[in-house]
Amino acid sequence: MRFVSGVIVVLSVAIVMGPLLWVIRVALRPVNEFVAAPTDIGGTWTLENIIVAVTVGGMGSAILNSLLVISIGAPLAVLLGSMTGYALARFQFVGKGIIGAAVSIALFLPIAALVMPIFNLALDFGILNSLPWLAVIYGVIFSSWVTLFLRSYFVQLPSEIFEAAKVDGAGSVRTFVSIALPMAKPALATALVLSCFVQWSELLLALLLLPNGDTPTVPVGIAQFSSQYRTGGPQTAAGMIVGVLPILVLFLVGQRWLRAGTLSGSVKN
Amino acid sequence: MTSSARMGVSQRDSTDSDSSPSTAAHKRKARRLEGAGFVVPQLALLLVFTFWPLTQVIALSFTRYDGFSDPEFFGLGNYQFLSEWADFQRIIFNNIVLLSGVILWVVVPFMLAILIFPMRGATVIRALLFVPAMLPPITVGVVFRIVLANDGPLNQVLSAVSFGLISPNWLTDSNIVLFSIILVICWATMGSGILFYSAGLAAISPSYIEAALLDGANKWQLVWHIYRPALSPITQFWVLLLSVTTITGFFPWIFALTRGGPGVASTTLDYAVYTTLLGGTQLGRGAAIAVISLLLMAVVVMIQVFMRRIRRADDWA
Repeated sequence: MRFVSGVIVVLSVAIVMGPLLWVIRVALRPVNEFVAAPTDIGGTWTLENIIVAVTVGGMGSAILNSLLVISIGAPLAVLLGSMTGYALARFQFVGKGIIGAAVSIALFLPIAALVMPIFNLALDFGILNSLPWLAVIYGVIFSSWVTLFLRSYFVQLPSEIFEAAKVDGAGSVRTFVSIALPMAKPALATALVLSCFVQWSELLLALLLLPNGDTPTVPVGIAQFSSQYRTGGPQTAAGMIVGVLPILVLFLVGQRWLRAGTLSGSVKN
Repeated sequence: MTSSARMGVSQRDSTDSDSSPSTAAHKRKARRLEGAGFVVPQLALLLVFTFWPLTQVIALSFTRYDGFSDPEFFGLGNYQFLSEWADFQRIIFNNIVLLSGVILWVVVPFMLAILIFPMRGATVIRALLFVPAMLPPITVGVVFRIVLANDGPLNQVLSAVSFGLISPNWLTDSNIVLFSIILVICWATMGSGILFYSAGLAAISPSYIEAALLDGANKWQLVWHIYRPALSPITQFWVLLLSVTTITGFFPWIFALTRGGPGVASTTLDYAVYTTLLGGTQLGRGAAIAVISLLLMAVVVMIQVFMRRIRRADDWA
């Protein structure tokens, strides 16, 4: 039985790593060798495809565009979500139930259902082809889960600290900024990392709200790439690897917080 | 999300020394509004970018709209058209089949987590298996468009091993394309599932397992009677997470893997909204498709909420 387990696990790792290693190999093969023998893994190794992808292929600027978007959108989503989450966790104001329900509903709304009106809205206000505005829209649309996530985190914090602050005369804003937020660092970091990932990877809205194709985000760039060049070519592969590197760095840096955050906030239900 | 606002009735009456009626009322009013300010930014922005567009798309679905002239009221015309359109029936079918992939996307990480848990190097194995989860869906999609190509590496290997017999058209055969997509999504998501289940496994007390083993439980009984109930909260969470992220997010997978093809064999509702928008002339119909995807999402969530209520009532683990 243990042998069978071992085989299954080894197979799983092979199935997971296989396609990735293959794509990496393809990316590092000269195009002419690939065209001659597409499924070969031998031959020479070269970085020329990576260079082409970053420069001529536009991946370099796509990465910068995506970085711009997440640097605005991710903090915005976390800010909005943490404010509302905090309020839902610690106060009993009028309409609290309705607002909580509204946020939950917003969470379940498929983006595809809303793209048409959002496109019209962007068109009417002249904010198409704008990366900062795309970031703002991302920040709003992807903020509901942050609210619920931070809410469940804030609910678990001991009330004594907040009561002490109140006795000391701290107002709600002061309490939020100086006490609640610092205490919520793991959850905030998790929310930030996951928001970056989601906003980096979003395709549909980006395709529709950046129609002129001049300032593509990474997914849009990959989409453009995979139609332009021969699918499967080393240049597509190189483009994809380059486009994914920043995200991998993000996860490596944020992985400490990810583990702490997901275990505390979500599994308890 | 069942907390209800206590409108005007404060749970804790004022306990300080000043007990005149107007001050007490003033304090109650302050408590009613306290904290409300925090909510305003997100709520306002959600209204503009989510709820207002929601009403617009519902309204649009009852019109004929070509993007240039004003929308013209069309009653249920779009819905009627869709109900009779064979392509749309296939699209709904596609969504339902892909949704049923949840079964695979749950069972595989569940079993793998259990198998990996006691192994040496489990952490490394889980880290390796998690790599696909860090890749954006479009990247995974393009990777597998390459790997699953009819003359791609997978078929080369299968061909070589089976003397040319096995070499399915993974993404171009309309009978198996949905199955291929389910496999790809399983590949991409199982790493996260394994992490969640592993966390749950770590929380099961070992003496519980030992007791069961002493009682003579075999591996399968252990899985069914011990692991499955103990991990049930994680399963509920994982199923919800999968259904929300996949139903709302089939688009990048479909776009990268098949562009909805062959024909509409792999077109999902959200991909159909995209193609309608690109087409530009039947925007009312596109809105109707969007509304139907909303309804599907509502049904899926309701089912899970309902199942949770039943579970709680029956007191299952």
